[in-house]
Amino acid sequence: MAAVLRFLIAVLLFSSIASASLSQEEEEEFSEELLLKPLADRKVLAHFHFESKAPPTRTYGHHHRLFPKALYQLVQKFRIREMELSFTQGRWNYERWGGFDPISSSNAKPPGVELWAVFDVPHDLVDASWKNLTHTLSGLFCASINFLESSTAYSAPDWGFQPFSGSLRYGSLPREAVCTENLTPWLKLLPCRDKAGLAALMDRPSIYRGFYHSQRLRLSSTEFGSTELESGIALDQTLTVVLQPTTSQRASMTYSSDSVLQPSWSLSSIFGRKVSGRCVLAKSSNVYVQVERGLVSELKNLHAEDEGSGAGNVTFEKTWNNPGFELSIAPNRVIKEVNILHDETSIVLYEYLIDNYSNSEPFDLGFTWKFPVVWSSPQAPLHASRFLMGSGNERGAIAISLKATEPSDGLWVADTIENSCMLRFNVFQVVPWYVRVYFHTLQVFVDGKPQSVTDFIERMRISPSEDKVSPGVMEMALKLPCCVKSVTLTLEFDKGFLHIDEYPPDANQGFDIPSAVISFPDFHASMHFLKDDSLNKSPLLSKFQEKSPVLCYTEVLLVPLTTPDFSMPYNVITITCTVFALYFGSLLNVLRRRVGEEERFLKRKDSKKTGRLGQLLSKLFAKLRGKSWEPTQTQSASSSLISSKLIFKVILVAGIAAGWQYYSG
Amino acid sequence: MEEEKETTTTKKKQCFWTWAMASVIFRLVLIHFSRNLNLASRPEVSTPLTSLRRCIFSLFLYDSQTPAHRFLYLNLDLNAPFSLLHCSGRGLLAEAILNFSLCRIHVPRFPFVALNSWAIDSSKVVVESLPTLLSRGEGQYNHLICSLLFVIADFMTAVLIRATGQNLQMAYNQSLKSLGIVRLLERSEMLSSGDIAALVYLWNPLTIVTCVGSSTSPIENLVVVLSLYGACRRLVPLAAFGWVIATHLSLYPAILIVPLILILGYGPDSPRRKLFQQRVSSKVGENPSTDIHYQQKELASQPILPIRFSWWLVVHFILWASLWSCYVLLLCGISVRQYGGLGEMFKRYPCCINCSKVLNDIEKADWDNNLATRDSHEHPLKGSSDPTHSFQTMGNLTAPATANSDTYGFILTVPDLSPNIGVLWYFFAEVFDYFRNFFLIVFHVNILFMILPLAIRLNHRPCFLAFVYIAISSLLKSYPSVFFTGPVKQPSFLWAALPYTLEGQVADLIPNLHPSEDMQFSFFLFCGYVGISFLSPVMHNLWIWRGTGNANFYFATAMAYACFQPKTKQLSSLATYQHPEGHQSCMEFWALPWSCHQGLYENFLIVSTEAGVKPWTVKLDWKIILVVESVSAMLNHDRMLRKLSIMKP
Repeated sequence: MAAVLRFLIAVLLFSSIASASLSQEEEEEFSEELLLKPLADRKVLAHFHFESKAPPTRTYGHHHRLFPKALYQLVQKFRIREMELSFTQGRWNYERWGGFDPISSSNAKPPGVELWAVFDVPHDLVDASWKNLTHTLSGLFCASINFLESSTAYSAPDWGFQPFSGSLRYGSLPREAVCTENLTPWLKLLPCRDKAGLAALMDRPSIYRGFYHSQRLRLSSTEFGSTELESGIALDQTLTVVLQPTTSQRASMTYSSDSVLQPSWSLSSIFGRKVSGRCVLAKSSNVYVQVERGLVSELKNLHAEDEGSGAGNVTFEKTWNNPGFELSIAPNRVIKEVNILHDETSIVLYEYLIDNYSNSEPFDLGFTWKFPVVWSSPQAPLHASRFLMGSGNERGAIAISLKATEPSDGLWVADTIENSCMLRFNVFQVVPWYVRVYFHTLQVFVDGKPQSVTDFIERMRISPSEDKVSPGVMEMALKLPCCVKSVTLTLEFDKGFLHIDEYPPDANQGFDIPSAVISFPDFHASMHFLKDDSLNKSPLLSKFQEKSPVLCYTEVLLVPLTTPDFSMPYNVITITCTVFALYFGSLLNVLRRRVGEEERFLKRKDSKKTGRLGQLLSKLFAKLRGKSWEPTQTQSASSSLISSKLIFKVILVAGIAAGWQYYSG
Repeated sequence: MEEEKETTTTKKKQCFWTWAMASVIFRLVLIHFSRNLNLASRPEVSTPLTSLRRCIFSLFLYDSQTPAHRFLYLNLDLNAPFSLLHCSGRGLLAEAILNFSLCRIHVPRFPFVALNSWAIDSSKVVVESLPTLLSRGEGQYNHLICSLLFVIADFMTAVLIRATGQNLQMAYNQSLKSLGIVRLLERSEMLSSGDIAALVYLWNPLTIVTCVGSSTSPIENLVVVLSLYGACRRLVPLAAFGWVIATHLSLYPAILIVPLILILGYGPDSPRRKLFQQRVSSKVGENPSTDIHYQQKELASQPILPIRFSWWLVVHFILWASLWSCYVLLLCGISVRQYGGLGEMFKRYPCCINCSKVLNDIEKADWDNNLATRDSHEHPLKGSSDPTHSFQTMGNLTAPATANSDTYGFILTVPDLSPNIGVLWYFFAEVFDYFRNFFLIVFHVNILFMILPLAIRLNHRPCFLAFVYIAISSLLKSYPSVFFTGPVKQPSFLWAALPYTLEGQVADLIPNLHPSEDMQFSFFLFCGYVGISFLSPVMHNLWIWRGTGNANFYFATAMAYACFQPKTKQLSSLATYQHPEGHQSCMEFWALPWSCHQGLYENFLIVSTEAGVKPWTVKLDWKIILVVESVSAMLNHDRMLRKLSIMKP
């Protein structure tokens, strides 16, 4: 019996192992990574990246170990092909923090909430799915995403936001305040939450103390695609924080040159916590320190100065302790970007594996500057800013100003066909309906001079706003010669007036116009690494290797709108109604009056013929009043007759009453 | 004597033309400075319906919408007078399109319809000016040409008013003769009311402001006057055309069908039919004391009274109207077909249309066609042969382009709450959504409600009836501008009232000088009107531009404006007519500045004293505006006429 049991158990074990080995390729995966990057303006960028993958439902089934159930159901229910939701506080500083690297183009987001989704449903159902999705997400993330439900809040860009976006819907809420209540549900989607692993670093006060904070969630699924290649659902969760390291005493030390030493930092100094081990469910748990291209070249110069020209050039990238800075822990690996065009300068990544650390020996990376270095981040070809023009609350103009940046060498893959360097870019802008943009007033100023619109605009798609129904959407493809220094686009608008209920509680603050998106389809921010199997295993690095078009967002505009008086709607209603009633009544009175007069006229005629008594009475009354009685009465006499009749009646009644009183009493 | 008269009439004619030309020149001068005046953005001048800017925007959309049809458009639509001028509001794309197609086909047919020379001239003018109108480089339009068009429209309106006024006066004289009150005519120095009305129209500051501020209302006004003129002249197709187009442009003139039918049926003006009966009966009943010879002569001169309702003309009119409207609808249907059909025009506003978006893929070639000025000859070819064109059409195919535009819903449901001089915008901004539909119905029914009683009471004075209708609808309409609510429309219909004011009380010429029966009262009214017309811009400025004022202040001025509604002026001047006896002193007062017309005034007094009209106390409920006074005045006038005819001494 026991042998049989043992045999059975063995069989079961074996079968389970076998099945496990069979389905090894289709296993759920979770990986956590953290990228740290010193920024040029004495700040530190921390970029958390969590990736969960679920294999296709067809082969794997509905039950998941790691993948969050809520999102799986979301994808299944609304048939989402792609979705991105971001909560952002603060504005990404493109000039200082860079605008031409994978992080800035995919993780720099407009303030507030931005949501876009591509659905795999028929055209007529897209809007319905979107509405349901917004409600679900607003429940999931404790945010007012449900305001994106109304058709005035979202738009359907055609090509301006993403190329070939068919059933894409895009919406953003610039004024959404982002705080821990949004972060907590976001962390709940992680298998280890923030109890273990890299997420444990997310100390709320230190995160929200930063200059920029953006939490992002991106879903992409191939569940419903007709393509054979099914990879299931992939969920990227990223948190990008720009933090200011607290300056220690050493940092305040000034060097001979004017430059100040950058503040040194460590994980515990910027987050107040240490990594005490990886999340056990994670397939990989890595920390990277990225040294930017500009910094690398500066350091190289420094290195060259130190050790004489030409020496140590090859070995520099390998060292984690160089004249510029020092890392407190030796990296497990140094990864160098392979730059196709220029070999000298390239990004260096130091990789740390968290597997090696534990509770007793927590991971606390320290980054110590040794020498003041000034460098600059790679910039997008154009620096965009947007502002309002005009004064008053009746009308104004939106201006998008684009200034050419200093082309960092080799980055511009300029379109040099036809011997002329042309720079292409798209502008995508959604304007709420109460800002009525007159698209025909579009003007282009190139280098400050007004130019014909047709010379620079290749394509344009306008969907004019409709009051209380849809926002105005503008997608523009522009083409500029490379020599152009600045371009300004202006559009005039009228400010609309809202119903009293449509104003937000703080109506006098103004309304936010969502950021415009400027994308450069010809430029791709991507890093190239040497082909290596281990690299492909890191989702963050493979993300960096993907070609993503350079994107940048403009500022949010605050448009003050006129407000009606909120205090007394009843007064307005009643006064208006009174005026209308007066009008109606008096007009009716005038129209009706003739009838009475006619009657009187007829009566008088009648009384002339028959009413002896009446005549007598009137005679009597005339005598009483001491006036001569006129047989031909004019209108006024007739009217006075009426009044005299009335008086007479009153007197008569009074007399009868007096008589009655006298005789009966 | 007669020679003198002739010379005076020729003088008058010359005088009229010189003044008219002077007004045109004045406008042109103002247009020259219009950029500095910046009138186009005033809420008093341009409403969502009449703002030229929106009109151009909708046209721009239309242009960019159908690049494939541009060839057609450039060739055929050059003769589209209203297309550029009628603003179709925010979502009123269909309107613009409609106007395109409408006018495109109408102009060649103008001679067909046997229009008068003015209409043909207008079409010519428009045809010439349109290419330049189209030329709005970089989103600008040729302001000068556009304004010129409005000036011409204004001038034409004035001329039509004059013609109609003369027509009316003739009818009035005839009716007076038929009533036997010819003395009235003989004694009074006849001022041609048409001239006065036309000049008042031309020189009214508010008309000038509207014209210079390039709002499209002059065109709408022109069409209304055209229809009335056509009716007075018994040009049935013209009247029907005017009515259909006016209705199409601003919907509210639809109610004018009642006065139009009455004009055609009874003639432009006649005393009450009862009057004749009464007169006859009184003659029979009481042996007239006047000499029989005169009576007989008068009877002989009295032609067959136009009491009979000429059904034939009315049927004719209805046929023509239905023909025109079918025609318009057909054209609309054709042009709007690709944007969701004719239903779009009549759709109720809040219908939620998410999928229907106007998609415009504009390429370089199209921009050339649209925006940049260039000569129009090359473009059609260029546009069609452009290699990028295929992409364009592809883009249009992939995204179903539907213009969501509800032409009439926009007018009726007041979705645009931007401030204007009316009261509805603020009302609907403040009223609770739950009651919105209710009040929409109430306000619009208020217009309709008065149609029947007024028509019954004033059916013998259809021109005046038309005036009252327009006044009412301008009070209650959704997007009033100064042009419609203000006195401007009134003078345009002053001719309707003028003949009744004993051939022109000259006080009417000065819109602000109010001849009332009570001096204090008129002074108060005058001051109130002036005060409001100054306060309103101030309040607007405070609220909108400086942000210091409150919306209630501006609304209060709008409210007071609705109450004062300067109409009271001309109209109460009518009212004064009724109480000459008791108020001689004040009559003298207001007549003093116009001592040149003392004769007229005396005659007036004599007539009234002879008639022994008791002053019917017109309760000049000045708070309640407008129409009330005019209607009551008119009714009183009728009463007086009756008395004159019956109780002749």
